[in-house]
This record gives sequence, C-alpha cells and structure tokens, in this order.
Amino acid sequence: MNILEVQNVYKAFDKNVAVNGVSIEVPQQSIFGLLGPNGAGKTTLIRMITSILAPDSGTILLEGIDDPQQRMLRIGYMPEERGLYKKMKVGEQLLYLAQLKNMSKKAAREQLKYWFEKFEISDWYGKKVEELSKGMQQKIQFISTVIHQPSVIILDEPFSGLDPVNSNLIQREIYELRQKGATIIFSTHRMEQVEQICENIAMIHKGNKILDGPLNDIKNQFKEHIFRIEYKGELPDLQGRFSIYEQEENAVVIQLQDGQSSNELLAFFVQNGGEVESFNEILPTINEIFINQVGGTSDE
Amino acid sequence: MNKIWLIIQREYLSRVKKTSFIVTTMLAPLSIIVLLAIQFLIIGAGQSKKIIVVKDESGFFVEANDSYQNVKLKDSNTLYFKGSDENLFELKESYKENGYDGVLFIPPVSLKNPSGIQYYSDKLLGIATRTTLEQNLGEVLKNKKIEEAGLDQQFIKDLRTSVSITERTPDEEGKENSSILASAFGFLMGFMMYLTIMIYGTMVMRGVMEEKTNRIVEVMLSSVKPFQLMVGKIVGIGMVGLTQFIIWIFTVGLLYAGIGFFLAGTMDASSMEQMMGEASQQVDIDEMQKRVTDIIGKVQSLPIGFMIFAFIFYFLGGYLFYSALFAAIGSAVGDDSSESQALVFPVTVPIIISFIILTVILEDPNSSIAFWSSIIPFSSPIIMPARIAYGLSPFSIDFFLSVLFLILGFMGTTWLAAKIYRTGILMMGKKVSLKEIGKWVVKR
Repeated sequence: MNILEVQNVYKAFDKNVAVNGVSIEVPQQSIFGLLGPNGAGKTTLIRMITSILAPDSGTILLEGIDDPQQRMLRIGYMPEERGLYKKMKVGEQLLYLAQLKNMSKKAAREQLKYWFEKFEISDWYGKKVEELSKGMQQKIQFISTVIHQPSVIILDEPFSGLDPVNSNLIQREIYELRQKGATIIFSTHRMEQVEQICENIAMIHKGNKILDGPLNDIKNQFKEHIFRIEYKGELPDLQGRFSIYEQEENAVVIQLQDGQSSNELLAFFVQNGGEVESFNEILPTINEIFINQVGGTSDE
Repeated sequence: MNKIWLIIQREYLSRVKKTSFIVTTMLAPLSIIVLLAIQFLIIGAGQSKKIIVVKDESGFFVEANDSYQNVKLKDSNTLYFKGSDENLFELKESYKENGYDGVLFIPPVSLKNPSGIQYYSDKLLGIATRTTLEQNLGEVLKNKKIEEAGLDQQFIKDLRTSVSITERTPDEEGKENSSILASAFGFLMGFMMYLTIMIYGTMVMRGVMEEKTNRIVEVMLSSVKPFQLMVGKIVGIGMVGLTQFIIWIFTVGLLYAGIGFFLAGTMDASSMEQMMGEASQQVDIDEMQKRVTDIIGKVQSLPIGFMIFAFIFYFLGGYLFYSALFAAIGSAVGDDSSESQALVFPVTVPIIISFIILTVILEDPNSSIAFWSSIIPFSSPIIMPARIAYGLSPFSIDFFLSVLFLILGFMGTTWLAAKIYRTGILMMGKKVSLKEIGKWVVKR
C-alpha cells in the first residue's frame, strides 16, 4: 500500500519549469530515496509535498487524500538549509514547533522528554540555540522534525554537514522510526548513500522523473550480466566462449553474451580445471545507472 | 487561528521577556525626568554672577556724592552693579584686578536719545544678559521720564493692562481650549506616532529578515501558511508596542499628577524666577504662579480621553498599515542589509513626508491639506492625532472618513504584503528589484 502518491505534478517559476509532470509512489513504512543532481527539482517537489508550495497542476495524496493542511500536520520535514530560532531556548523552541503541528502541550512535553533522554541531552532544555555547537544544533533540528510523531518524515540532504557521530545516530534513528511505522523519504544528490539505506527510489533530472521503483528491481533491470570469479591457481582456458571484461590477480570479470547463463559459465569454469573461491554477479551502482540514464535521455 | 495565536504569543513573549524591553520601557519615562532635571541644573549653573562697575556721566543712573555711589540699576540674582567715580581709562585698566566682570560706561546722554552707552569687557555678555541689562537701563530712564513729567508712579503701573483671550468651542459645553497647548500636544502626538511607526515597523522588518536568514522559515512554513506567519508576527510585535504605551500612559499620568503637586506646593518664588530665566524679572511672581495653574487647568481642558483613544487607535492603524509593508520588504531582501536600504526607502518616504506635513498643519489645523492628509491612510496616523488635540470632534465627518480609510488601508497593505511575502520569503540568495516585487503582486 502506498502512503504517498504524487500524480503528475507540475510547477513552474516564471518560465522555468522546476517540476515537469512528476509522479511517484511511496510505499508505507518504506525508506524512499529521491535522487538527482543539484537543481534537478527535488527541493521544489518536496516543498509541494510538504504544502510549502502549491503545485500548478497535479495531485498529491497522503493516505489517499489530497489535503494540504492535513499534509502539513502529518509530515515532518527537515529542510536542507537547517534553521532554528537562535535566541530561543531549546525546550521552548521544540514545544513551540510541536504545537504548531497541532500537538497538545502535554503530549509535546512527553515526546520532548523521550527524545531528551534518548539523546542524553536533558540539561540542554534551558540553553539558547546559539549557545550550542553545530553538532548539538543538528540533534535539536532532528528532534524538531520528528517530535510530533509524523507518519511521513522527509529529510532533504540529511547527511550534508553532519559529523560522522551524528550521521550514524540519525541513520540509526531513521531505521528505528521506520520500525515504529513511519515512512521516510530522503532526498540526496549523493547516490552511494541511497544504496546503503533505501529500498525504493525515484530519480529526478531537470524536473523530470527518469526512473523509479524498488532499488533491487532497478539494479536488476540495468544489470549487464557481469560476473566476478575469484579462483586459486591458474585461470582455465576460456576458449573464446566467454569474453573477459577485466582481469585481476586471481580474479576475472566476465560479461555474459546473449543466451549464456551464469550456470553455464560456472560449469565451464569448473570443468576446465578452475578452482573457484567465489562467484558473484556485479550489479551496476546507482551512480552508473544514473549516468547511463542521463546520457541516454539528455536533451543537451 | 490556533496557529496564529501560537505565533503571536511567541513573537510577543520573546520580546517582552527581553531585558532590553524592560529596560527601555522603564527608562524612557525616567530618562525624560532626568533630562528635565539636567536642563534645570544647567540653567541654574549657566547663570554665573556678574559684577559690573558703572561709570555714569549722565547722572541718570548713579546718584553720587563724595562718599557714596547709589546705583539706580536694579541688582538681580545674576547681575550686580557698583558705581565708581574713577575715570574710564583707569577703570578699563583695573576692573579685573578689582574683581569686576566689566565696565558699563554711560556718556552724558539725553533722556530722549540715550545713545553711546558702552560695555567694556574681554568676555561677551551673552544675549540674555545683554537684553536684561538694556531693559534695566530703559526702566531707569522711563522712571526718570515719568518723574519729569510729574506723573504718579502707581498710576503708570496701573496703566499696564494685561489681556488674555480664552478660546472656546462653540458647542453647548463651551469647552475652553488653548491653541498653544493644543499645538504642543498635537506635535507631541504626531511625533510619537512618527517615531513608533518607524521603530515598530523596522522591528517587524528585522524579524522577518531574521527568520529568512536563519532559514527557520522553511521549517515554519512546513507547519503554517505564510500569511499566518506574517500576521502573527505583525500582531505580536504590535502588542509589544501597545504594552509599552499602556505602561507609559500610566507612568505619565502618575508623573503629571506628581508635577502638578510639585508646582502647586513646593516651588517657592525665587526658584520659579530662576527657572523662568532672567526675562521673568519684569513679570510679577503672582502672575507667574497664576499662569502655571492656568496651564494645568488648560491641560485638563484638552480632550484627554479622546486623545488617548485616538493615539492608541492610530498607533494600531498606522502600525498595521506600515508594518505590513515593512514585512513585505523584509521578506524580499533577506541576507543583504545594504540592499534593504533601497527597498525600505519607498516605505519610509511617506512617513517622513507626513511628519513634514504635521509641522505645517500645526499652523492651521483646519486647512484643506490638514483635511486630506488626515484622511489618506499614508499620513492620517501622524496627522489625525494632532488635529484631535486641536479639538476635532469624534463625531465629525473628518474623523469618520479617516478611521474608515485607515481600516481599509491596512487591510489593503496586508493583502498586498501577503502576496509579496509568500514569494519573497522563500527566495534565497537572489537580488530583488522593485519591479520584480511588482510581478509577485500581480501573480496569481
């Protein structure tokens, strides 16, 4: 079941088309990656999902309902450009932001206590934000995003500018929140992060969606039937039946031709005296897929 | 609505709780008292005593015999006269050694043409002292003339007749009013309006800019509508201003009562004389005291209640009218404060022009420029309170139109500002021109 469905959404600023008829589907309780280089239209798309901007056309359904007000309350959003009221005290600020999401003061206090204890920062309550270090502010920013227990959490470039400790912390929290039922969308231009975390992705380029679906499906879709064999001893004679893609010491990378199967390759290798240590298929990285796609569809 | 209320609360409390707010609110009335006190002290300290040696060759000013020099010039707190029969040359040489400040030389003048009187000193007299001295000399000659004409001194004194006009409104109550006082209060009210609209308007602008440069705005806008954020800020800061005024009106009320008590009770004749400067010498102390009580009476005759109401209404109206524009500018500029100067200019110019008009209005509060400028919402918050101090009736068509147009006006600017704000607030790192802002307004 999809918790969020974006259908044919279009947004232009003056004559610049920022988002050009994009549709995405985010399954419930998934970790969804929105990919694309800087300036692809990710942030504009997110701003429409979070009701900061209204789309020129198209619909955005959260749990089947297109209601910008409802989305505001149910989504927790951490923008790429982080920001807090510098002169406001940490505790007051978090309560304020939670209440703006229609949370009761009492419920907000309870959540605040939970997160403060979890991050072991209870003594920060009365401190002004400007007194905190950057790393500390990032923790507060994260709490402000999730304090109202949103069903969808959107993180725009969540790891940019994070120190490794906070980066790990937030990654852990993302998994835990998902475990508890939240759906997480995060956008990034760093493709390698997506492979670690996301199950589903959508790729955006110049305002257009160029690809979407479960990460594994996409990888399979773009696989080039390349296998890597690590072996002991001598490389058996392949007799020209298989083309060598890359040769390393005690390893060979082979690309299968049409009609050839991996079993065939393995059997041939063993029958010809090869001693196999490991046998893997090499799937393309998201980065490679992206470059492949953009290269193919680029209008430049 | 609930969200706007939360925003108002934050904007209000975050400012009112600041020590700087408490300090300025408390200190502003206090600093007025301190300034007044300093002024009195300076006036007191500035009146150094001068001793002048008088060489009179006319015989009008000094009655002399061998052992005795009786100067007819009246001594005062600051001027003392001493006759001398030494010759002028010697006096000029020695006046300093003998502890005098200067030499007043009167040649053998005639009563009709008392010219050629000289004052020798290395220090100038100063305008006030010189005027006093001239009046003093004139008085002596006048008395001499009266004497020579064989007139009775008392009769002449009685001839001096002082007349004062009481201005009243023509309605049944026949309220007494005073032009001088009204213009003083009118100016004060207009000036306060000008100041507060500027101060609180820029406060709104800075607040908006702060949210934009802090980048908190995107977090906020994922929870509230731009309009809610803008209106919440404007109302919150407006309430800060209102709080400040209410505290001030209250303290001024107390002060006023205190000053009344002070003037009526503890002030004795000599300190009064000192306060009013040397020019008051000619005026009877009784008359002086009468005037002071008169002023107090006239202040009470002003439409104080209506003035306070008008002040608060026009503060709110003018503030809402202009702060919406300031908020729009704040949303459009963002990071670069030097750039904001150029955009703020079109908003501040009408405020400044209104203030200039105010000074003209005080001359003639019922002119056509007064009428129009008190109806147009760009200037009415500054002009209308002044006209009300002049006794404009709350039931007049002028007041009705002024209120109506101001309310329509701030609704208009808020509508306009909302359109600019919602686009400008998310516009990062881009230089914005007035022309572009215009485009945002017409945009759907």
